[in-house]
Amino acid sequence: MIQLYHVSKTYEGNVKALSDINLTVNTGEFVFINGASGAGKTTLLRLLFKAEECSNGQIILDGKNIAKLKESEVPHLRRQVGVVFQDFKLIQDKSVFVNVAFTLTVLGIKSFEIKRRVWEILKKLSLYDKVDEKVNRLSGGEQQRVAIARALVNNPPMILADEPTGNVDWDLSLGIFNLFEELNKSGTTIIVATHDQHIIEQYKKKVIKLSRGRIVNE
Amino acid sequence: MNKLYQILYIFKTLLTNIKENYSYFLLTTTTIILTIYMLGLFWLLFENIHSVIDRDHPQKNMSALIKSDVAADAIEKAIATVRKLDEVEEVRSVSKDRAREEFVVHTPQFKKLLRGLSINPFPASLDIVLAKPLERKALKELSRQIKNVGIFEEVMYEGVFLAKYMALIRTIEYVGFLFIAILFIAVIFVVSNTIKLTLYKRKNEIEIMYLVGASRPFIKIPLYIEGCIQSILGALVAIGFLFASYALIIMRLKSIFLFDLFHTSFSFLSFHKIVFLFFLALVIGITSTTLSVNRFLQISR
Ligand SMILES: Nc1ncnc2c1ncn2[C@@H]1O[C@H](COP(=O)(O)OP(=O)(O)OP(=O)(O)O)[C@@H](O)[C@H]1O
Ligand SMILES: [Mg+2]
Repeated sequence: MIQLYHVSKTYEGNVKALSDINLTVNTGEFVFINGASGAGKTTLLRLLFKAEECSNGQIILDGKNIAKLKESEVPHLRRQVGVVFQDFKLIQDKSVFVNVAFTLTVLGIKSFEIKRRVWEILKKLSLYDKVDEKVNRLSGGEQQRVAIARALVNNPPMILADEPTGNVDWDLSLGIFNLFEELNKSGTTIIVATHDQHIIEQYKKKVIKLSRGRIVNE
Repeated sequence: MNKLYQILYIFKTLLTNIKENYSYFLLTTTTIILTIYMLGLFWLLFENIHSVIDRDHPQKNMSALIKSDVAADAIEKAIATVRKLDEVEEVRSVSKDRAREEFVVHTPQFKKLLRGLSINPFPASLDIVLAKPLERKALKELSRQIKNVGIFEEVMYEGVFLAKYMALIRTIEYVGFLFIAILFIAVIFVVSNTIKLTLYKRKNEIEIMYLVGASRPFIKIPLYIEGCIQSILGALVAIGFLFASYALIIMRLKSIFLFDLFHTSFSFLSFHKIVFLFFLALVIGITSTTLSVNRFLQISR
């Protein structure tokens, strides 16, 4: 369970990205974060895996205040969260395999097991023929799916996806969201930031609407 | 089991890093080689000079060389003066001819050469035997007293060169060590900046590693191992070069028969000192890695 109490985030230069956010996401929930560009969606997600520290308020994850995590505990938190970054954050000059396998190698999983799991997730995302391709030779949509594959490959209990379908067509988008739904049915908490109204209407999930850093409905 | 695969991964990363940045790897290693080589050379030099300097056998004999145009009665007077000195037991006058004869007796191989000379190059001198053997410092003081008598060009005894230039040798030594210390710090600075450059090249990658849950040790360990490999490799090559240089110098010295000038045998650095050079190389590698990695990881968080 994620609980946010009076959370605000002010970036350097007095840029107010989030103000007084109060929010609860239960374990196993599927939530959309919606809002115009610059509303603070990415910022909100980044706070949840401590890529950014909040300026005010408290973020409680499964009963633990993440502000109080020791630096050495942060990697553990991040391994529990599969993140699909808006800008993908892939290692451009490495292969798809290396990128996707990375979260598994960090955990020290056997290499044949890594191969099996990477293969499986790439197949689900129709990417298995690109496994040895370097990321910088892939299209935007392919890169986006590699980023998704990396987030999902170690079956994390929570997935944070930032505009996961911004670069793919409608059919692929549906494929990706069906995959999210499938994972959600098996208990994974899923938070998706998107400004795509069609997707939001299609899936009928809880929507948190942000506007200029504030929640305008819940 | 998990640990084993993590370790395997770390080594794989290490190899990839070296392969992808081999020019930096070579640059760093070369810097370490040069540093350790210079350090070792300096050490070797002073080690051997010291083996000469530190052997201070007390001497019982001195020889005072008389200036070329001194009258006989002046020599007699000087002998009397020297004889009166407390430390002196016996004084024997050696004429120019006698000096030449003695030389021929001791080194017959030069007999022919000397016969060809029309003048006698040997100065007249006084052979002085002391009451008891004196150490270098006392010898120096005594030789000064004898020289003050006035007719002597030079007072010789074993180690006179060292006695005269001891202060200079010490100064050179201190300056040398100061220089080495500065070099050491400069090298750490250079190497840490080189490592930082490779980190900047991988900045994006390292950032991503953090974001998807790699721990600090997981990222740092390959960097440290790389630093250690560079150090050990650097020290190994440097010591190899050092030994080669040493062998060459000794060969040269032998061939120009300077070898026996100091009545000593030269030696290479002892095992302990070689170990210490490895240690210093590791200090360079590890300190530089620590400096660059910590500063870098602070920036890229
Ligand atoms: N690192 C940063 N430093 C300073 N300001 C930032 C930073 N990141 C975001 N901002 C600002 O914070 C506000 C919210 O940005 P955020 O990226 O969270 O928006 P978003 O809702 O994800 O937008 P988009 O839909 O375009 O991705 C914006 O005004 C942005 O300029
Ligand atoms: Mg965004």
